[in-house]
Amino acid sequence: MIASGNDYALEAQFELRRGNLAITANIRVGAGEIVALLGPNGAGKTTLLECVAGALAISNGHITISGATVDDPGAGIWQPPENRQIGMVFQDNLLFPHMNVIDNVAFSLRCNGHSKKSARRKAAEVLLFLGVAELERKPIEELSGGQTKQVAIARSIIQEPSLLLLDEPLSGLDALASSKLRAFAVNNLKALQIGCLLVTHDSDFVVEIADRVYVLESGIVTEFGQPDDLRPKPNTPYVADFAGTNSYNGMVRNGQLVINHSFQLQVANLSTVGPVNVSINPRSISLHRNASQGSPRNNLPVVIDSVESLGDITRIVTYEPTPLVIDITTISANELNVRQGEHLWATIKATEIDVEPLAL
Amino acid sequence: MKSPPSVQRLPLVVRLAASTGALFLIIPIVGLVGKASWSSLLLDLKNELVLDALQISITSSIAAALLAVLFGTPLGIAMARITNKWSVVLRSIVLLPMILPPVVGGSALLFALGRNGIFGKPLFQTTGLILPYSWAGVVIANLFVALPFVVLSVESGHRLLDRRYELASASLGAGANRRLTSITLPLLRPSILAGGLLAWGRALGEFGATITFAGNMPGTTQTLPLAVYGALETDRQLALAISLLMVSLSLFIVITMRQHWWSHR
Repeated sequence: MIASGNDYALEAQFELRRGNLAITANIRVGAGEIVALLGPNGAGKTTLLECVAGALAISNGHITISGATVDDPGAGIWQPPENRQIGMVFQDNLLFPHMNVIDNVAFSLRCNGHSKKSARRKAAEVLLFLGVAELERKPIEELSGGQTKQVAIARSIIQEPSLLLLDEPLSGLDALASSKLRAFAVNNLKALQIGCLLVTHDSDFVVEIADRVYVLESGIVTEFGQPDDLRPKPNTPYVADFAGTNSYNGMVRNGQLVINHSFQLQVANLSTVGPVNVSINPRSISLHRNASQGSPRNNLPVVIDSVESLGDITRIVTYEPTPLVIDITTISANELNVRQGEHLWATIKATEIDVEPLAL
Repeated sequence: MKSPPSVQRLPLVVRLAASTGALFLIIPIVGLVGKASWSSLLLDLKNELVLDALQISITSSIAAALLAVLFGTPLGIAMARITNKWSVVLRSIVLLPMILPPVVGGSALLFALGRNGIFGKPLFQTTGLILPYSWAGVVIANLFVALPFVVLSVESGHRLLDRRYELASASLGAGANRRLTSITLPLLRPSILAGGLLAWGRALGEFGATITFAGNMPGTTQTLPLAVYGALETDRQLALAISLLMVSLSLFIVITMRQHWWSHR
């Protein structure tokens, strides 16, 4: 392994092909930083994790874990999974079914030459630290989905790896187990200061836990930054959907902006022509019972699809004829008394619509 | 869970055919049991010839089953992992003893390992070891027919195994040796045991390869099946008694196997 004095838990430049998907991505995880990897199914997120873990090899580029290069085809470097300083939590956990909880957790210590007794003692300490000491003696098949995930996390962090890979840790859990596990992960992973690369679809979880986000679409990083940065100006419809922002592909013709061939918008200072990406911050849209009067405004008829309270803010999703995500204060939502199925008017100021030409 | 009777009920034709099939398997056993003279059964079996044959059968079949597990497990694992063109060749070679008439297998062993055989001759010249017509020869004949059972059981068990358990253990720092001993072999335990029991049962009933390669010498190479064959000519009552003994032994293996399977799935 070649040491290069940097502070990254992971510093990687991936280039590989999986079936029809070509993946090219640069990913960095700082020491102790929690980084989320987002993207639609089939974008290559799990493939990247498998490359870092050593289940797959890249064809170009390099993977460096805490300063140690573990895969660099150009330099002829390849380290098998057991020589990489990582922990991995698999989507389906893969707890060893022939061992009970404590022996699963103690497994990596046993691999590193600890005696059975000392490995079990350390495993018990870790379970205690994570707040699940009561699971210690349980057989694997008696664990609930959430407990299984907690044990899988305990098993992979016992050696305090500098990098922890988590593949969809919330998948397959019901709402209650999912929210419990979220709290568990946020508390423990933040406290442990282990660099994490996390694949997930849960936007609340990302906002809660992640320091930084990469969005991977069709093998390419389309967006990265802090979770809060993604909201106001999403680059792609996927990010918009994820962050709860309105993003549309549109077309500018004769000074008019047409969205998805369906509705038109008045936009201030429309200087571009051709295909564009349009984004509208949900907070700059207001809702009214009647079409309001006044100059550069867009009045759009909407039918309320769902109303969800997010504390001070209430998120309203509308569908035909205009699909929008609208965030209004809960006070005004109560004043309006918005109900599902109602016909209302959404108003968007012309100056609040962001139009970017699509790079072809 | 019990399904409602309307779902469980099979058409009459199917039930008739199923009953015929079951009867066909039961009738010979009923014949054996019905013909037995239970009063003299123990006395018949308390015969030096029978006791010798029993001892040779038990020791040689267990030795063969253990050797089959010892060599068949690695072969099964290797076959499950080999993906190149040789896997087809290897699989055919492993399957052959299951299809081959045992007498032909025994002859092949004789030509290969006999005193003048391709491998037997140099073996005799260097070590003075003669395999045919010895207890070791019985074990070898048994092993030849029993080995494929372990190989196939382990191979199919390995194919059902989630290979990612090995990735999971590797990511926890387990090298190839520990992955094998702590993960792969324990997870394959049911397949190895099932294969071993099948191999034992097959070895216990071995006749053709044994008589061809090891002969039929009372006290040295005569196993229970060979003793039954010999007794049919001379003492029918004895043949019946030994047959019943074999039925009990086989039944014991079957029951062990069923209990084992039930406890694992």
